[in-house]
Amino acid sequence: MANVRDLTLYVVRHGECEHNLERRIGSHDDSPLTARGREQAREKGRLLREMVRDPAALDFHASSLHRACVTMELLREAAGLPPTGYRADHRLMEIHAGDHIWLAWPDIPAEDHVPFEADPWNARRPGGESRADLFARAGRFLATLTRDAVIVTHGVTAASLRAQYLGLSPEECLSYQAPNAGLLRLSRGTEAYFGE
Amino acid sequence: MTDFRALTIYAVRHGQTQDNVSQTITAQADSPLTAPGRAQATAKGPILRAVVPDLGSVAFIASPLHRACVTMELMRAAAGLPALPYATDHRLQEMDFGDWTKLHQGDDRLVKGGPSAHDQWDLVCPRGESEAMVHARVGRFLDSLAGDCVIVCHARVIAMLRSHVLDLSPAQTMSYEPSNTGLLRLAQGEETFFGD
Repeated sequence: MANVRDLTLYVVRHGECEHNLERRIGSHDDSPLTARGREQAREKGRLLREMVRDPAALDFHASSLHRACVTMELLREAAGLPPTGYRADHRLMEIHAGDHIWLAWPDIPAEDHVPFEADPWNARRPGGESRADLFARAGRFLATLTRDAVIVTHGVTAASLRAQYLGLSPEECLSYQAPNAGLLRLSRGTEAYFGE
Repeated sequence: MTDFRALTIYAVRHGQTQDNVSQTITAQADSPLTAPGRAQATAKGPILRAVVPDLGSVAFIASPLHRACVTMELMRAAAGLPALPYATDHRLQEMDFGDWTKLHQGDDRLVKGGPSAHDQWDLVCPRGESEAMVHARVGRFLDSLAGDCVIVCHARVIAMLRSHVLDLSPAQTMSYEPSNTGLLRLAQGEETFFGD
């Protein structure tokens, strides 16, 4: 098995979606990319084409949720590749927020925030995953990689992949916010962010 | 709460995917629709128009997995509706086969629960779900419905929708294999299949 730190990974979040604007917890539900989100996806493809001599030589992995696959297909087209020809993997899906899926942040009962204030790494939303669960899931995904790859995923999953790759602490993992735009390169154990 | 048995539910499986052709378990990962699969999705549009009395008065709800959303958008466009908007619901995702995801259906690692159907009903895939767990979450989805709806989802989920509406036993539920084509109407405790 390849050591993941010997690989170069381009980690991107899906483009902006309607639920991002409504400040809802999308999690395992979906909403359409906005016009801006679709343009962010294409911009990632153009960035990739500038950064990589031969994008076709990379592996491409997306979360199987619709917004990630749509982002992947727009990205690939903008990078000069056919839209399909990527793998969709359930281990790249967003953190499972259980009964809080699709709630807007102000609609979450105050008492439901308490466990997260006490232990943000291990707390789970009712019926959902903890950040520690997702960190482990991201590790299982990374262990399957054998070649340099482009990964289209979600905010919390991107933070977890980054923390696994860089060997970060839970605190460092929790403090990272993945943007809808741009592209995070993980290479030789270090990171570089390429924005628009 | 509306009793879902009083509603009319139009259940549609996604069109044929590459994994369907190669007999691979997709579960909560994804696989692209084949050209025949896209044609199957498009062919559901005229069926929908012919079978649903008023397309303006039904809700459209898809699994958030990519193949279901693509099928929904192709079907809606072919029915003369705009591709968007529609809702998604995570409880309509395919059964989670966990570590068995993406194995061939004939793979030796697929441990069967035992000789009786009841054993298979309760067999939990490693890091995944059992048939009984999917049955329960699809039941919670049905209880959340407020009116008639068109649902685009997956083989195991259609089997569970049918199981709840027709009040079937585990053995009767598991013996059903939904088609990639056509549309299943569930209403008043009865089913009617409309093919191409």
